[in-house]
Amino acid sequence: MRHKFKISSLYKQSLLNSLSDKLLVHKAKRDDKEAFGKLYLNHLDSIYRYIFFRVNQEREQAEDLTEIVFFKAWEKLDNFDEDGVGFRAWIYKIAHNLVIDHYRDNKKRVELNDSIPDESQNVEEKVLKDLESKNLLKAIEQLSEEQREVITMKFIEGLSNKEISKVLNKHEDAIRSLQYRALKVLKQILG
Amino acid sequence: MDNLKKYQDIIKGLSQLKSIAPSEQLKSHFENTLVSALLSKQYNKSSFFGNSFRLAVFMLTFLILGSSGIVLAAEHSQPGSLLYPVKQVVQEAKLAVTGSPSARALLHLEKAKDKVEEIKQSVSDNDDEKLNNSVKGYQDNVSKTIQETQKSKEQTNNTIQIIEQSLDSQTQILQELQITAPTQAQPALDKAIDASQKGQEQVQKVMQNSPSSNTPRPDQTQNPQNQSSNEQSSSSNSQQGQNTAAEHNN
Repeated sequence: MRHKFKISSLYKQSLLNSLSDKLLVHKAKRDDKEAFGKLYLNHLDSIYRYIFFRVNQEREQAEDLTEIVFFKAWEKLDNFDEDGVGFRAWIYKIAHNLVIDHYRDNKKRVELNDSIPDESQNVEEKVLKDLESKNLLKAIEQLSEEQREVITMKFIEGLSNKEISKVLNKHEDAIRSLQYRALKVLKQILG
Repeated sequence: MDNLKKYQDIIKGLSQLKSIAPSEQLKSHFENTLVSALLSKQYNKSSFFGNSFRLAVFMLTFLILGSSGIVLAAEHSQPGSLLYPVKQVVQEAKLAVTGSPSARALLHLEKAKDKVEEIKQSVSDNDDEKLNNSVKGYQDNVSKTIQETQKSKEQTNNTIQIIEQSLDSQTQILQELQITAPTQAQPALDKAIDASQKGQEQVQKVMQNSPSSNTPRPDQTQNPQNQSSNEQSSSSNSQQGQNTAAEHNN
């Protein structure tokens, strides 16, 4: 019961953020630079995390790609349709495509890596001190790319299934099924 | 029941991973580059600002953006690379703060050169949509190069020659590309070649009307043997173009 409350508060927060995004985008497109800055800074952490999980938890690479996502978003903001898909799904879509391009350009694929990130250089130290989180991070690495994406967007960032379906160009049913399969794999790995 | 508890624990554990965050350095760096980008964007949309504001924005943009490693690395990036969007943003920022028509002409010429690279890549990827967009971008930038060239009253013969030679080189690259390109890419390549050739004709007219048109064109003095090194010459011209643009700004 307690857990249910947490999930619903996550969505409430997400709804509030989406309303705030609408307002900020509206202002930013009309040259309100403060709104513009707020909009991007509001999403910096979550976009970083999303990329972090998609690039084998490599911090430097995640930071470089995050920076490029925001340059791209800044460049395209004028073309963003305020009545269309929400800003959050839009910027995740940019990040999603960028990571695909990144691997295509480097002609390399993510290999399953059972090593954990270097604790000495990571800001994630706090999290990694916790054994459960450590195991969870390792388990996430063993998910397929799509499962990892869905898990990150849904349970870490709190995106709705509708938003995730826009980012991945998939039907909401497919998203739900991916979530279920991903949780099942995590459960098997974590025992 | 156990199963449910296990899933709940996993979901709870996942939500705790939200504490993973980028470094403070990234955040502050981002805020700095963002501010400069915003200023140049604002200038672009407004007509209230005079030359002093333009100069201030230019200085600020390049002090901040120019000192960023990612921007320096982006300067020589090619279309398709990850840093190419950063280069495009910097090019737009430069255009937003550059007033001199001949400097603007050279900036558009640089963009046209990038579009040719995009065209080459789209043909090799068999991506028709991207090809059409790149050709459109190419036509647009060649046309703007010519417009700015025609506007300039203080156009030097050297700048006109750079533009003419670069367009000549681009025509050759596009024509070579057309030989091996698939049938469906041919109409788009025809359009790009047409834009490039028309651009050359127009710039030659400007050159003829230029007060210093007595100076012989480099291709008239060049040994025919050297003409095959067009691509090399184009790349050094591009560098020259950037320098000229910087001089004009100063």
